[in-house]
Amino acid sequence: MLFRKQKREQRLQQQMDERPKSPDYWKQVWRQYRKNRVAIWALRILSFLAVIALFADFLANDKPIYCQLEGQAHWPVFRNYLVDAGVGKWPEGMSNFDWKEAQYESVVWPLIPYADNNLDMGNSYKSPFDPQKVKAPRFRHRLGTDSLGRDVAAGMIRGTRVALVIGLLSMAVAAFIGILLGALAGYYGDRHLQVSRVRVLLNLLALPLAYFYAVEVRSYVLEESSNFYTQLLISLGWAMGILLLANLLATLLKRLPWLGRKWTMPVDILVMRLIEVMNSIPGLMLLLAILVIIPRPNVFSVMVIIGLISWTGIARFIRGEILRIRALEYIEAARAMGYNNWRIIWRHVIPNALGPVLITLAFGIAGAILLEAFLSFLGQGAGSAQVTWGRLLSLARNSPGAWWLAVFPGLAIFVTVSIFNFIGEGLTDAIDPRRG
Amino acid sequence: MFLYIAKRIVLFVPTFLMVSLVAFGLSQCSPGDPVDRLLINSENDINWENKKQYERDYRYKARDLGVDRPPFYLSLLPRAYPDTLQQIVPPDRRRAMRKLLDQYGNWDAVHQYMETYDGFMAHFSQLPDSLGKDDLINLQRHFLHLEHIYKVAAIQYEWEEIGKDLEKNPELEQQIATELLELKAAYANLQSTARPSDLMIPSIRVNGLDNQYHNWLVAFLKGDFGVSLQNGQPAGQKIKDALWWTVVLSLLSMFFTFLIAIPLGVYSANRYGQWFDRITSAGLFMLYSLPTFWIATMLVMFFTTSQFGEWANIFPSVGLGNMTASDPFWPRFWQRLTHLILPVFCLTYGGLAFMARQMRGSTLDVKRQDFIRTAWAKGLSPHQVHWRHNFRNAVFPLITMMAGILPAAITGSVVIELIFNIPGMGLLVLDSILAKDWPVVYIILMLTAVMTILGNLMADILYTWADPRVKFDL
Amino acid sequence: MKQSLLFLGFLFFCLLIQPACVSDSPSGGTDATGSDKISVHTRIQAEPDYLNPIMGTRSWTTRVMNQIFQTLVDYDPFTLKLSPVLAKSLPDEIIVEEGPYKGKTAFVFEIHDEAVWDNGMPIVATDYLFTLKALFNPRITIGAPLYRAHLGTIQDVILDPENPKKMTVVTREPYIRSSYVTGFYVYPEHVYDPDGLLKDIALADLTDADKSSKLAEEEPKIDAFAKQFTSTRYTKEKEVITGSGPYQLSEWIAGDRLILKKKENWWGDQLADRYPMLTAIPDEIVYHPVRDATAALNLLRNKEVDFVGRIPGEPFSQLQGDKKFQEEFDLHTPNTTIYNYIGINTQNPKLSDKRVRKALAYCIDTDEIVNTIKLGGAQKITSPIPPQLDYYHKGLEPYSLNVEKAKALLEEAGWKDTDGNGIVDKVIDGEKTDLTLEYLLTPQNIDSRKIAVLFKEGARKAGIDIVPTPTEANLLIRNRGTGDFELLILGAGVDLGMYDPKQYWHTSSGGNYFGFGNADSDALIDEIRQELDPVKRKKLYMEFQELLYDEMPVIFLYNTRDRIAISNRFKNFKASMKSPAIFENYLGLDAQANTD
Repeated sequence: MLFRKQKREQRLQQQMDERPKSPDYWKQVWRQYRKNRVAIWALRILSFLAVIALFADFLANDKPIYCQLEGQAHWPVFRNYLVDAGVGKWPEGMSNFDWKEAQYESVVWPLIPYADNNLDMGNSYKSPFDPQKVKAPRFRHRLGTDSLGRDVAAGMIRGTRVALVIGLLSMAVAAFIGILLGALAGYYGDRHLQVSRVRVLLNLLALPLAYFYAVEVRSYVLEESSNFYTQLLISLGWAMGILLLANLLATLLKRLPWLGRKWTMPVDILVMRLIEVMNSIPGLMLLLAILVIIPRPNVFSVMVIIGLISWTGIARFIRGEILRIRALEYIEAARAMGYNNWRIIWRHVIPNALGPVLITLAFGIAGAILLEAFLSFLGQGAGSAQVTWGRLLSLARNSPGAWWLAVFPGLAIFVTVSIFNFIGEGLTDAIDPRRG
Repeated sequence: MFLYIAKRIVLFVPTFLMVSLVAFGLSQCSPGDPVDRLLINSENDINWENKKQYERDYRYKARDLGVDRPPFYLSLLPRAYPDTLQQIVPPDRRRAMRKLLDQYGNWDAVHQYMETYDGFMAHFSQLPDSLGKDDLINLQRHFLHLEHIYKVAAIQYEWEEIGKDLEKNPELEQQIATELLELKAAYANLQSTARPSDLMIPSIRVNGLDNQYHNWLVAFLKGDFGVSLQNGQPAGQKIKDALWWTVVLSLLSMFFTFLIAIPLGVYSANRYGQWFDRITSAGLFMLYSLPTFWIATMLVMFFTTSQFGEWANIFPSVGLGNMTASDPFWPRFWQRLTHLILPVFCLTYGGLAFMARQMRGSTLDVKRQDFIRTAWAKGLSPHQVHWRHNFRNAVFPLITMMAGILPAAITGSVVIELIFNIPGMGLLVLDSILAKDWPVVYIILMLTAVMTILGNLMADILYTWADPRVKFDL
Repeated sequence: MKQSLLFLGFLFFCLLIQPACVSDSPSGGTDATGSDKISVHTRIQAEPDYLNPIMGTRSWTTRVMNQIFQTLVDYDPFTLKLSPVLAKSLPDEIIVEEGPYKGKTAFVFEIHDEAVWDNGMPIVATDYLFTLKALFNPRITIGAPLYRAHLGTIQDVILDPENPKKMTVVTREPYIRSSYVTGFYVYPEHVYDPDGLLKDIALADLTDADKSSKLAEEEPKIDAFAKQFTSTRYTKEKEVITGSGPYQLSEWIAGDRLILKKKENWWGDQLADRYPMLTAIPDEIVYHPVRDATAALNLLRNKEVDFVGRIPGEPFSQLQGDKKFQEEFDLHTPNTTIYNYIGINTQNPKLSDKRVRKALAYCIDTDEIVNTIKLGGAQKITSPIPPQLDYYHKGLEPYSLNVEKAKALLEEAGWKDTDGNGIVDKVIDGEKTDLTLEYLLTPQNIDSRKIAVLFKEGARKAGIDIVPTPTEANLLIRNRGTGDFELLILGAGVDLGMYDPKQYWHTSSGGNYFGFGNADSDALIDEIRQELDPVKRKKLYMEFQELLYDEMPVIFLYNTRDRIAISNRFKNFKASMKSPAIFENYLGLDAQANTD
């Protein structure tokens, strides 16, 4: 893995150096991308998967989409949304209603008339071709069932949502950290960030204080509160506040002669060391180690952790790209015109570096989906309440005869990972038309 | 060159320290008490009828593990915290006292409350059964619970329940009234003498060199890797035992990767655009996206047993075979070989696909460059041109991959080793992490870091050796 | 280039045969089928941690150690009766007539005259005395604390001045399990304490909590012995590990296998006819640590191991349908002494009413658990006592799914759904509370996860909201200890000794996690613990089980059956209810071997 990543980085770096830049750069990229039939197909399949993820509740559900019952029309799937949101209420006697057993005047069932957690104990371990005890062919388990008679097709549909969300959100986290740190390192390098002494000193003082007030002082609230994530945000707010205060103070104090003298900050070295530390700890190992110390991990914690450990590649690209762009004339011009640093980074540098980041993101999403599937396969990660492809696949390991539990979820993982890889590949070719 | 290496090694020191801090930090955040975990084996459900004995065993175990020391050189804690919190046993009481302290910030009052509590319990346990056995049992339950709770509402609830029980038995109430008042007074005192400001004032304590982190790091540098929390085996020994098969697997898979990928890549690049190239390109890309754990599961499922028909039982089962060193060489060799086919295949195909694509790409690049044209012009045979020049080009990815082998050998492949039951590093890593066997996890993390850095350094040096045009910035 | 490839290839060939450099015993062929030697290949879940009975507590460790070490008495796996092993007979129970222990109950053991250590020294009472001193050494903190809790009743050992093989074990009080627990392991003193570190320390001081704590601080020999005893040398090295049992450790390849070889001219062989516990048929036992159940089954199919126990339900039911497999392997489902339960925090105001607890029991479809989740490998129960034992109360009807009854019980207890959200509620302490219960389970346990799904579904129909919360095992145990839970599911095992209800159900016990009991139940438990008359005791047990059934501090779900597949070349094989169900030393190729 290490090798692949590095190699890819090298190649991208090389391409960026030679890349022609023009105003309608993205149009041109898109034109190139469209020439790649496989990549276009990958995009189409991705939109298809996105539709499945978005409308999962209408594709697989144990409630009808529409039904007519005792002269009354119901829209149970929609109503379920309302009830979950706390806006609506079930009609009298319908909260624990058994929708399968009801006698309808007319009814529209979802494509798969089961939810992912519906038990059908009479049909445990049925292969798609086994005779199944269902009242109509409409209710057959098309892709078989697991040990408790849960429908594999319904689980696959629900799993699509989890997989896509994990891929996208974890990479969003990674992109945020990566772009921020990479831009800082690349733009300032080791020599260009001049900070007044007082600011450095105050920040050095504020960091432990921020830790103290955000973590130590609030440990009781953090551990005991029923809403951990809100409290975590408040803690982060405290830390930010303290840091902000220190910097405000620094702005005031830097007028004083000794305190105002500048020190040069080796931003680049610091960021690169951090990247080296991250890269010398194997990702999977760090991920597992963090997961076992979280008392009750859920899908979101898995996503955030994947994001936290996979930002280094993005940071390196951005840094490399910025190092190159920084030397360009128009940045010099912008600087000469007195634009401030942040504006230059934000308006000129980052948009230019986005191409390679997009490519990394596409491959990164594929990697994140694969990683989560693997974690579920190991029985770690997303809590037991979530159906994921990896968890379905892990069921197959306990029951070697149930091939349908291995084949379908595995295929879904494979397809999804492939299309993101194809998209990444297509983007690479489009950004560097010389290849392919 | 020498300067370059020296600089790299110096730069490595902070990285190494950072990794050690990460590893140590992880173990400190781990929930559950390592001492309790070793004393109370969750497989054997046991309670300690003798509280004294438990506390003593706990103390000794904590001392053996060194966890009764402060964790780090410095600690930044609220002023309200005492230095001795770490040494309070049992851990449940320590936790309750810490939580009380977190709320009220007055350690003396917390301490006094617990002392009063102990005094009360001593008195309570002396009460004669004649006062009403059932009432005593009910009360005892509430009082025992008091030791572990710290939230105002929960304590309030227990007091109310105790009050209700006492109302029914005035004689009993009389017997414990004074002591009960004292206990209540101690709790009220705790609340009234609260010093929340002490919780907000940071205080830095210098713990000196006798702390957990220092002891561990020094031992590590001396080559003493500590013992596994799971079975007390030296961690170094565990790693040494597991390392062997991982190295075998890594080397075999690397060997086959290169054996197949290099010719395949070069060959298809030379047939650029032809059907062979297109098919292999597409095939390799698919291969690259196939999740290893899926393929491995399917292979084991379908091809190692006769469950899906006799014809499907092609490969031996998972594991490494049952022959020992005392068996004759060739059969043993053969058995090992057949057992390794599937794992090596699964470990190889992904890297192979990637490598072959790399080779194809770089060969295409090279083909366009001048010196190949010169070679053609010189009249070298196409075969010579392809192999001599293009192969040289493959040296770089080869070196990079070699560098990756070092850390990979330490972490192993969790998937392959788990599914094929090979007792290598991957399985050890997984086991140790899941069992929170931090000493072993530490060592693996540290060794991986060292190996990654060494691998990168080696690769850089090899690059200059392979191509003198590569220069280093100092 | 080609040459170097060839060279690389050659290198790998050499790598493949590595174990040659690990082993140093070039002994002859040990093939399972080759000669007439019997070699048994056993799968164990993991590598033994310590080959030292006092320290190793894992089931797979005990399995190996029980072939190397022996206890004085133990339960016979087939008759399920307490039988002599290293002792000549079951101990005589006496009341001490004189001396400092006057009036105490004591047990007199005598070791076999033939019994000798490997070097020919006789096994004597001082070896037993030494073992107990080692056990009660407070500085040994691995495994030993567990046994110390079990053997807490032992006070001292009195040696017989005339017969070196005879001793009297003094206990603190009459106790139903005394004759079993006093029949502990015996270590060779000359091997494990060559310097006589413990020689001058009195056992009576060590069994006393206060005195031993003082000793541990003041007497350096205590610490020195503990260090030596727990060192790698005494827990791993085949040259040192020595017991009186029929097998000795011959090779230990870490992570791969562990080989035990039968001792030549073992002293017990001549007694095996009269003492079935001394049976030792195979010439060699090879233990293969294989963690993964699927991998273990694969090994079994390829005959690399001879049997696999604890097979998960699904693969086992496939094996049951596999005729070809059954040509070579037999399947067994013996009973075990392991049960699973849902613990209820009776101190929680929502759960303090026993009608609510019973309603919960009516929400669990135990039939589906037994049939679909456990695939028949379980039995519904009403108490922690294994249902095969004669003092299990067969008259009580196990609970099963009955939503109507659950609803009725809830209504009776005042729980109604007043706000139409599908969950019943009640006003507790002035606050309207929904009957929403957090249900802790360990995420790794697949069956627990399935049961949670089933439980939630059943409870939903009755209007109870169960929130399954996967919780890491150690955390779950801690929550149970501090009463910080509402519901939880766990498994527990008992041994074949008489069931001692004190640990879980006596109000004075720290292990009474669920808040069960009152003065009457305490009195009943105390009575059971001291009642040595089996008929009277059985009556008391019945009474106790009825009480548990009525109070429902925990919902007893099922007693597990083991699932075993074993090669049918062992013609004399019989599965045992005693853990671990298969005892290698009894396995033979003839049908009439002495297992009865």
